[in-house]
Amino acid sequence: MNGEHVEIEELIAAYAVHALDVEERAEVQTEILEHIAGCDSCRTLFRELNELSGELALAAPPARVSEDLETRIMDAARGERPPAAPKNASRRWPAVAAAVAAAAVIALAVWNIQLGSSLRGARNNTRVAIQAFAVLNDPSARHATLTGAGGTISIALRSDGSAALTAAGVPAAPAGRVYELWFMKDGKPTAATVFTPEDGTAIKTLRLAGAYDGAAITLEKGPNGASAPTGTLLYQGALST
Amino acid sequence: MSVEQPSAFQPAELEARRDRQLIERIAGGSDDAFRDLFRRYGPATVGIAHRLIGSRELAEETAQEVFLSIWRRPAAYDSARGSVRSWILAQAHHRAVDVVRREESHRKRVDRVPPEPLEEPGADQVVEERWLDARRHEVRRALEALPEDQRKVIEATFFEGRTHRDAAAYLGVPLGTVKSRTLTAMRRLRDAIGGGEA
Repeated sequence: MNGEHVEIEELIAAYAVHALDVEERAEVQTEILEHIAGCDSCRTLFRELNELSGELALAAPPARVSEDLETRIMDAARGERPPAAPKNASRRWPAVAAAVAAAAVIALAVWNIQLGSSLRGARNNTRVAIQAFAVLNDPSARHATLTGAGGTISIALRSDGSAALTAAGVPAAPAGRVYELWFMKDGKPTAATVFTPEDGTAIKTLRLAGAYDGAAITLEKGPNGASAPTGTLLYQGALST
Repeated sequence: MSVEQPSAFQPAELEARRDRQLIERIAGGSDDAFRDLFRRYGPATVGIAHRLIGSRELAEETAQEVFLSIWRRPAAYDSARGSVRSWILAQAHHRAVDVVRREESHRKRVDRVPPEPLEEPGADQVVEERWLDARRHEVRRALEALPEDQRKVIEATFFEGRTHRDAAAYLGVPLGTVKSRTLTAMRRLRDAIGGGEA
């Protein structure tokens, strides 16, 4: 086991107990994500220690919860009542794996309408979600499921160049960094879009000319990303034919 | 506050599955499921936040933020990354540490009141289900079984909110030692208690 490997393991442990300074956290997170994309044992350690940190929190003495706190939380929740998720929507379309993820993301986007301060922003979010849903559910589109640093990223690309991305369970991008999607052709990347997951989820639509055989994701400098990848490959997958 | 009757001990996997079902129902807009989830993990959430922050009011605020973020985005839970319980408590820990560090930038770290031991002396009047209490004792036993130098590092960082750098100064050991002890301790704890599905 080499020195760099042990160093990453120590960073993973420090990250899991939340012992990093705000200043170093983003940098360490980038380093961890780039390493675990290509290292199974560290990816497992990252997942295990992060989960362990939740279990460790259980050791603290439980506190009596006042009725007042429960009332406050329930009132606040009811005040921003989310709609029911469109559970059956995916069944009416051809069954593609991405549909379920898309339905969940749409539910989130619709919900943002109720939370959003700007009506225009909310309408825009819904429009993006509906467009993404349409692309991801198009049986003639080519699909890719990207795996790597954790969670799942679904991509769909139509022959007219419209494309969509949904992400779920993806680690937060370090401060100042964005995830960048690249479409690949014979190993050559073309910049497609950038995104920053919120609570692990993201949704994007885009248009792109050209023919591709795969997709990949790296971390790049925010807010606009790079024109050619500089970061380590975090996720990749082939487009279905 | 009305609390469900403590159930007979059930295998942890059944409870973990019930948590996942609650999250699914919350995603469908069920406030009953949301209340159930809060009653299940509210005491532990306020508990870890209170332990770190030391203020009841700020601990409750932290718990409120955690639960409302779950209500807004239940889809952020990813079962591939662990149990619902760990997900909730890790969020609570994370937010509480942020509060501690923010607060401490206002008042000097040296004024910190030494926290009480984890094992509260007989004051456990909180009504929680028995299986959760059993799990708590398992976690505490695993912490107590750590060699003292490792346990001190976990206490100084995880349970008191210090950064590695501050923990090194506080414990009077080099930064590298804090880092390696944290890793060793976390590995031992993982081997002893596993994750939330255990």
